[in-house]
Amino acid sequence: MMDHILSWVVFLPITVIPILWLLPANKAKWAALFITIVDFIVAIPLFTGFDRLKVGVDDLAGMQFKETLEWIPSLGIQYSLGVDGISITMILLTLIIGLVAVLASWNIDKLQRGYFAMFLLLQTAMLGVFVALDLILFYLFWEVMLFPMYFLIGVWGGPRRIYAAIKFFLYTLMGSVGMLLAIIAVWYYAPGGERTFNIIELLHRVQEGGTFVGPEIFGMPFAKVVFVAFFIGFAIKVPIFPFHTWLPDAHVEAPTAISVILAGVLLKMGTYGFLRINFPLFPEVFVWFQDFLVALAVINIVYGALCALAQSDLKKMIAYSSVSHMGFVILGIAAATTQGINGAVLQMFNHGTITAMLFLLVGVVYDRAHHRRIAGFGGLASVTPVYAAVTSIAYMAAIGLPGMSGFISELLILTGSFKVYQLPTIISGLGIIFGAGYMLWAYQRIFFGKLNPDYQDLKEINFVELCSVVPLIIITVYLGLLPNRIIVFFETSLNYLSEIL
Amino acid sequence: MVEMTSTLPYLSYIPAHLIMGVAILVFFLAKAIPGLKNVSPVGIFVLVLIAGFVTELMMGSESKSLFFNMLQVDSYSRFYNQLFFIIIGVTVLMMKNNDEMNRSIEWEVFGLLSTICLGMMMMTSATHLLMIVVGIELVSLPSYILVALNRRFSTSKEASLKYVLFGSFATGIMLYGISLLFGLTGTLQLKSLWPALAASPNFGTPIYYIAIIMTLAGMSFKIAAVPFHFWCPDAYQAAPTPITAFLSVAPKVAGLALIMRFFADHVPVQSEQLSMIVSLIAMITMTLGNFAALRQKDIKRLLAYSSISHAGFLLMGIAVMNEVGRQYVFFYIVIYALMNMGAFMAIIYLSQGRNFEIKSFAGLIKSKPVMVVGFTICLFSLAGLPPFGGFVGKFYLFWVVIEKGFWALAAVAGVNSVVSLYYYVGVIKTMIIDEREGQMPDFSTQSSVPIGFVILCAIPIVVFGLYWNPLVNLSALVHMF
Repeated sequence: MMDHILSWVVFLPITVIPILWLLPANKAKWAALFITIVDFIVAIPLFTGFDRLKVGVDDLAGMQFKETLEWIPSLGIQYSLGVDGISITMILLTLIIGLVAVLASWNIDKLQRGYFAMFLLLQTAMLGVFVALDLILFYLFWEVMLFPMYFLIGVWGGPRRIYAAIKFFLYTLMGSVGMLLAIIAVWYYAPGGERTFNIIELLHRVQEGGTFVGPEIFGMPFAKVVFVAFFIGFAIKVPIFPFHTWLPDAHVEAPTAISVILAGVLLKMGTYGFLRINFPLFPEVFVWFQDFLVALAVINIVYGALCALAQSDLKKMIAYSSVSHMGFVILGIAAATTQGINGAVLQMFNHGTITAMLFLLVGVVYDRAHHRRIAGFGGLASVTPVYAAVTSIAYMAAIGLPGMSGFISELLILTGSFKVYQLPTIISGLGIIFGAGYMLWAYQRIFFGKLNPDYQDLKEINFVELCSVVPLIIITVYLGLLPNRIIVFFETSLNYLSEIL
Repeated sequence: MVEMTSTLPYLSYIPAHLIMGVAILVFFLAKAIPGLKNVSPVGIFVLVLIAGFVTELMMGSESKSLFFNMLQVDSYSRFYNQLFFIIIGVTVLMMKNNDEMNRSIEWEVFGLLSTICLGMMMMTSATHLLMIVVGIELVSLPSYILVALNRRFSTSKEASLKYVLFGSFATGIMLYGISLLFGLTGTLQLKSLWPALAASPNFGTPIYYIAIIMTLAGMSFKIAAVPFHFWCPDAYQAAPTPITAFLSVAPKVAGLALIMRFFADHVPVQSEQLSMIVSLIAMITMTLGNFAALRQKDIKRLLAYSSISHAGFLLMGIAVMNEVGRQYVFFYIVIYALMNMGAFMAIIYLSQGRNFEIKSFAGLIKSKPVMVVGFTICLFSLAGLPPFGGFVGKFYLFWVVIEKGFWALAAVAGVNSVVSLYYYVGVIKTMIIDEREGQMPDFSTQSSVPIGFVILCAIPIVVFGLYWNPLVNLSALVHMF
């Protein structure tokens, strides 16, 4: 079993789907909870057995827990899984967020079996994306994630869910089709040797000095067009301005647990794609693109923060804060320094946990009050003190208070990018200040001040909800004080990656 | 001087054609044959189809040119013919579960279907321009009649008339184009036509293009490519649904097979221009089909425009003008037949032959979840979404196009894939997300065979979406000559 541990980890969630229909509808959530916990336990050997010294970015021998099977020999497509530093961090994140999201779905009351079936399929797809080493397998997992999201938002979401769901679907699919054409082009015009879809093999050849030599497409150099096609596909997911407009709608209309998954994991798939595929495959084009990318990152940070400041809906505010925080990730990657990239991946992990917390907490109050207007609340701290305390920790983490994980990652990113881009880094600092602005202001309007008489008997945060939030808090504080525990996982791989870029 | 050898020995190479020929006679004369009137025609027709399928299967792997190079029997024609028999069998199954057609004329309907079958088999084997005309007409004329047989909608006769007029018009243009080709080269044999065209002094002149495009007119009419698609939505909407299902798959596939054979003998110097012509038609067809489908409120019209856009995608595979392209067109056609037949069977069941507005499918997930899930799989596959078979088909078509470097075509096809998702998802949304106002329709009088059939279509679609090797290996066996 150790040989195929990755396959087990990836496919365990969907094994339970047929069983869901043997259970009564309201017991389906227990099956889902059970399998996510089992999945996490099964994955523990991955983390304990992970060799932190192996690099693995473009070196097949350095990838760990590899599995390879012939799948479609005529095209050279293989079922190929493996992890290195970047992937292992994302796997950890996905497993934790998946578990937390199941707890957050405890109150789903219609078509529960369908909900958890789609949820588990989504979980498998997300895990698969992070371990796939073959371009077509990667693409398959990437796309499989789309239609469960459509149903999860469209059936169980808020009032404008149909609009939000189809917008998400079409937007992401548009990027993905561009990505598919780019994948085929990369395969066809691959440098040196036999044609292959294997990502690591391709990276290896690029490192040996191979470049993609292809015909001009619409009059533009081949490598640049393919790079941009990949870029747009991943940028829509991150999301990078101006491809971010699907995010506020999708986040607001999705049910709480889906917002958690969306913000916690899905957004990271975009940046993962950058680090794994887009930038290392085209190092010279990346250099050409760097300045523009930094500009986009800064726009994300500042514009996202300003939009958040202007929101009156709590969930939309957090959605825009997500845009802003992902901007930091992009800044770190664009700077391409050791600290920058390390900070970026750390920020990916941290933002996943922190934003998940934020959405969970919004869900708590939405379940009770059935609205999310910031101005509609007031003085909740006197009625629900535990909730207020938990939320304050979460908000402090989001701001980037030292002692919480967010601080470390943002620090690393800013230090890393200051070396190369001074002015953008300074402007990004504004983003942090705005972040503090909207978070504290929202907190004050909701919890402090005069108690809104409507909410005098608001129910306190209950056990299940606490169970979903507390683990994340613990992780945040732990990593805030001992970030090295997780940095060691991806350090070696990322240091190597930053050298490549 | 052509040696007058007897053509009778050739007949042993086309047993399936002979069987269908006899079947035509039997079905049309059945009501006059004493004793036959009281036998169920369905049983006899199914036996005929099985016989035809088996004879095609048993033919081994030889290639032979028959009747002075008018027909070509090879693995290409055999595989397509087998496909036709299966599709007609499914059509019969649909007719049994649907009451839009008059039961008393079943003999005649099967006779017409036999004629179409014979015509389609000729279309896939034709290597002579006049044979092409014979094949197309043998398929078209009975289809005109079949479209008019919907006893629920009086508009079916109007649709049939549109079909007749349009079809005659297209055939007329095609005959004129053929006469131009004959004038340019002096031959009607496909094998000698293309080299002669390339060598003729008129190569590359406007008359060369006009002749080819006009000849394509009749074939584009059969596959409902733009600008010869106008009959398609009306005919599909008003025809009885089993006939719509049949028309959306079988004659379209036959037409595509015919076009591939038409272009197969071209000389390399012509390939760039021919690719350009077909690419252009493909792009316009895809785009028009998709954008028109966005506004449809009737499910059969929506699937009509969707089939128009799929013809455009398949033309993309033909535009590359090489063997690999043809093989992957076959690959996609098999999956397309599965998806389309599944979708139409689901429509027959869910609409109960009465109400075909998409609105009327609202909320059916609660009453018939298995059928709706099967239908959803077929629709997602039509949209080309992984992990379903439709995606793999589209992937291969993109692949052959990028191999040839037709970037504009690939980009247009990509955009169209995304656009098409919107209207397929619209149907899915209505079934799964929308709430039903009013009562759920009563499905108790319907048999559950359609549900089983749709699941039988959905399972291979999912399997092929994940492991499509067997079908690739099958497609590799399909080659001309």
